[in-house]
Amino acid sequence: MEISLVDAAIRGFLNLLHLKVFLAMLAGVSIGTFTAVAPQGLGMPLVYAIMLPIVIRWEPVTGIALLIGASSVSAICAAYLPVLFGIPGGSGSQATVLDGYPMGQRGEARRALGASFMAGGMGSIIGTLTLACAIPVAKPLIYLMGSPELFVIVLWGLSMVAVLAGRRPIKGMIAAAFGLLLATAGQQAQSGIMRFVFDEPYLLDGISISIIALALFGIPAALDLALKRLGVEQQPAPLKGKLYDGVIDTLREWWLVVRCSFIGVWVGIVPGIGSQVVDWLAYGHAAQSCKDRENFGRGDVRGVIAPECANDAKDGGDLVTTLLLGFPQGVVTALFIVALLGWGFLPGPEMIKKNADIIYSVVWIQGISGITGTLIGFVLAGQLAKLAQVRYSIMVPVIFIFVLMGAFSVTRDEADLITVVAFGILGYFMRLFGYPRPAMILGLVLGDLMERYLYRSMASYGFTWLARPGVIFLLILAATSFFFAVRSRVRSNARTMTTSTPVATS
Amino acid sequence: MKFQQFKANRVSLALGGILLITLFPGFGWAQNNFYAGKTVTLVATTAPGGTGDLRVKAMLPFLKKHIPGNPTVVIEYMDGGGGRKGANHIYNSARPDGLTIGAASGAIIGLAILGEKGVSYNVDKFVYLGSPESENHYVIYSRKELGLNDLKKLQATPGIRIGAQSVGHVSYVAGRLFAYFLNMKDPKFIAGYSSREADVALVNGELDARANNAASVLRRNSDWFEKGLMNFHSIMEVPLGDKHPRLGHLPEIGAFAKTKKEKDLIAMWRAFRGVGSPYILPPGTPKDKVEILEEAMRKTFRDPEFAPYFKKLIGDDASPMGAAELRKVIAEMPRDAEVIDFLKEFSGAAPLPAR
Amino acid sequence: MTANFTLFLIAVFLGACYWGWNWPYIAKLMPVYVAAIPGLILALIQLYRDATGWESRQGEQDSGNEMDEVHDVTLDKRTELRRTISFFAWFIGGAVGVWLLGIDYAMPLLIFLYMIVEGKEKPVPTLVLTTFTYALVWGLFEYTLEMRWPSGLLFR
Repeated sequence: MEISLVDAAIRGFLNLLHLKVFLAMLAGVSIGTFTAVAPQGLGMPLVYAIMLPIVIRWEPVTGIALLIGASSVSAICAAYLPVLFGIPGGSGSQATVLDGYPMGQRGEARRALGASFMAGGMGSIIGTLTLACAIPVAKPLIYLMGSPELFVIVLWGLSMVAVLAGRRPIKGMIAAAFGLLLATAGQQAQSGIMRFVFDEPYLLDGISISIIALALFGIPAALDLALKRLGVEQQPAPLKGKLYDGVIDTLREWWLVVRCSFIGVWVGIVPGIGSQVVDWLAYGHAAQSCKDRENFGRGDVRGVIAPECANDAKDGGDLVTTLLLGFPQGVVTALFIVALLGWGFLPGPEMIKKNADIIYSVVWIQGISGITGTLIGFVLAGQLAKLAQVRYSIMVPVIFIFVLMGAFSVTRDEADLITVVAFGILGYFMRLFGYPRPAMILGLVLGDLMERYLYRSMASYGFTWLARPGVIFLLILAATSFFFAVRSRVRSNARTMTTSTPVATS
Repeated sequence: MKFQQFKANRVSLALGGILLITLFPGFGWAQNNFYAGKTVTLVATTAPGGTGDLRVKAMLPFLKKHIPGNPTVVIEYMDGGGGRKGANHIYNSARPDGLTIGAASGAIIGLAILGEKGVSYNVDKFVYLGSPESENHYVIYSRKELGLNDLKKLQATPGIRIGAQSVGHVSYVAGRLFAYFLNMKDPKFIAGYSSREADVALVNGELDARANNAASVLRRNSDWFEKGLMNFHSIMEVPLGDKHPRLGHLPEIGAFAKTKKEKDLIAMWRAFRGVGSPYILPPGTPKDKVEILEEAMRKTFRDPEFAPYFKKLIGDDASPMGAAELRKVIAEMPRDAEVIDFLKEFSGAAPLPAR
Repeated sequence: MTANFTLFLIAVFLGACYWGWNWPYIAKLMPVYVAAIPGLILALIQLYRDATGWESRQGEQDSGNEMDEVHDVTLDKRTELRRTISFFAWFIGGAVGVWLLGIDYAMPLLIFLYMIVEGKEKPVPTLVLTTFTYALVWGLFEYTLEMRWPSGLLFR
């Protein structure tokens, strides 16, 4: 039965007013919080696969409350690992480590966590509002972007290497090139050619980005603790600041939150970009566009706010395509669609017509879970922040456990262990010799996308894709963004040269 | 028949029973209690947390229920190499004691027969227990805007852009087979799309056509069929003769085969697709354990709760195939070297062979 | 030492060019033309810089932020080398332990041995954390979620 969207929104809310639904939401939020701090072997896809056979027998809204409660909170609480341990969080929370961990090391873990939860909560709300408003207009938005447009956007993302390279542009570009090269390992989808596989079945699917990120950042962070013998020879920086400081930081940077949230929503909506990119795009944008950015990469709170709000807003974007078009954006949304089908709903235009109230129930649950998750995060963060003070003899083996378990759980192959050790050692040398690891990760996550979109564009359109209005518009945007970044750097160089060169007096 | 003779003679029956237990101690009491208190490991050749994982989880509660002794059933994930890693493990490393079952992907059969690298198992030596799915119809369809509403127009239009996941992927090979047998003119195969990206690309005109699993298309985009948003051209029935309830009217691809080689090609491909997701045991598993597990699978498939649960969890209808039937499919699979080489021409990136 | 690492990268890019040279254009475009050749050129420039001490001469004149952590340990070289080697020995030992013993045993053993031997922690907190680790690895995954980890080589 078709009803107006306003009626659907009201009915959707009324669907939630049952104790069972509320308890299911709480259970989901708890599970999501736990998985956020657990080693990567227990990620949201696995949790969904475990919960599905159980919730499929429940009332739909109760089951939805559990599933959406878990997934919406998992992203909000993902900052614990990067801030406290220096380990990249799950997909979408890797960039947080760049500034979150230095803040934690400086004793500002509470501020970093407060900022991440507030940003995550705000991002979640923006994503939810977008989902709610997108129902009438989502379809044309999604189909607007083809492979040519996506290629230009990925190219723009890659241009952020210029930012992520910082004061080492050559080394940054080398690192990015290395990342691009690693991204090509495996069987190429377009030709079937085995590239850098060396007859090893393990390498057929390429090298896992999760393992690389875990090892590249987690091992050098642990090494730092071991070298300094933190807590024994060198005392950790005393815990200072409050969660509330992070909240104020986030509110002050509200415009950054809005911009990065829309980056997240857009990544969620457009099929193909993937969650591994969202935090890097948001971080790169923040580092490129913010004023007074000398401290990015060294503990600038905006380096925490940007990726966290984008990562949480992305969930709203994911649900736009999942619910309104029936297109899953990843494993979690694919499993969510399975659950909806099991309850008798058909995600897509049919669901908008016949079950709009259920869609709005999802919207309400997403929003309420986001707020609940944020509040839980605030409650726990105060105590968990003290983990940043724990001495190295406990932290180092804990980080080892997270890294080894997280790596081994990817394919449960012995070769995962070789990979994690090799990239752990690589991460050490890269940091030692000043090769920016973020630039390498950017090359790695964007390399495959760039190749695929370029190939698809050329195969479908020849060179005519360059004349598409969307492509031209995006190229201008990307070029402008790049121009301003370079100009800012050149001016900054000139200022530095002026201040360092003695002024001749005559 | 022998038992019918003894039915009237209870003393003879009792003596016979005692004789059986003496001669075959694996039966009777021992049989029902072997699995009690034990753990059965399901080696899944899929990654944890995906839809492939759900297919395995759909079987789990029923295996627990129907294996006598109600053992604990756990999953060990061994994804990689398109299923080769798990299959290699079952064949070479798993103990043939009836406590390890492989929940394999159907691709392992094709990979072995095609002689792909990384295969160190023999498909004819696995012990097959059955498969929860055997129906796997494929269809080819094109966007309505092209106006290709009959085969002649399809054949006359050059350069149709057919999308697929990757070279060698099932949808890619299916697309190439359809293009070949339907005599499409200079089709262009564009790989590198995920399933959802291909759907979007079809709608926004980046692609013209696609081959895909029929159930999957209709589940995700039922309006494509109901509202005529896509033109459906042909179907590959797996198994042959099993008419799809909504697309059964489409011409079957086999009808376009002209030579014996072409017919064998389609038979081979149909057989590869028809094994579904086979459950396998290591070679050398004792016969008594095999019989227990085969019976458990039979009971699972006949369990009235299985089909609705499977459908609810997976979204597709279960179409189970028993052990004997699965063994037959595999034994009867064409293995001609010439046909294998011919099929390889469709799974690679080279232009289609001339017809 | 920096030059050695740059040489390593040069070797990687050269290797990529060598292995990829005979691939068809579609397969070669990204790894060879977009990544390896530009990477090689840039690495050679960097090698020159490393060899001539260009970066230490430039010093503060180069603007921009450090976008990654800087290695800022102020130990004497010998101690730093010794601790670094020890650290990686534990890490690699942990990985080898997973391979030989399986993750169920290797992770608790790693944490136990590290805390007692390297960290010289007291037995009680060590045992508590070891038990917690075992509860996580075996209790959560194998027992509760019924997901079996692969056995170690010694137990196969």
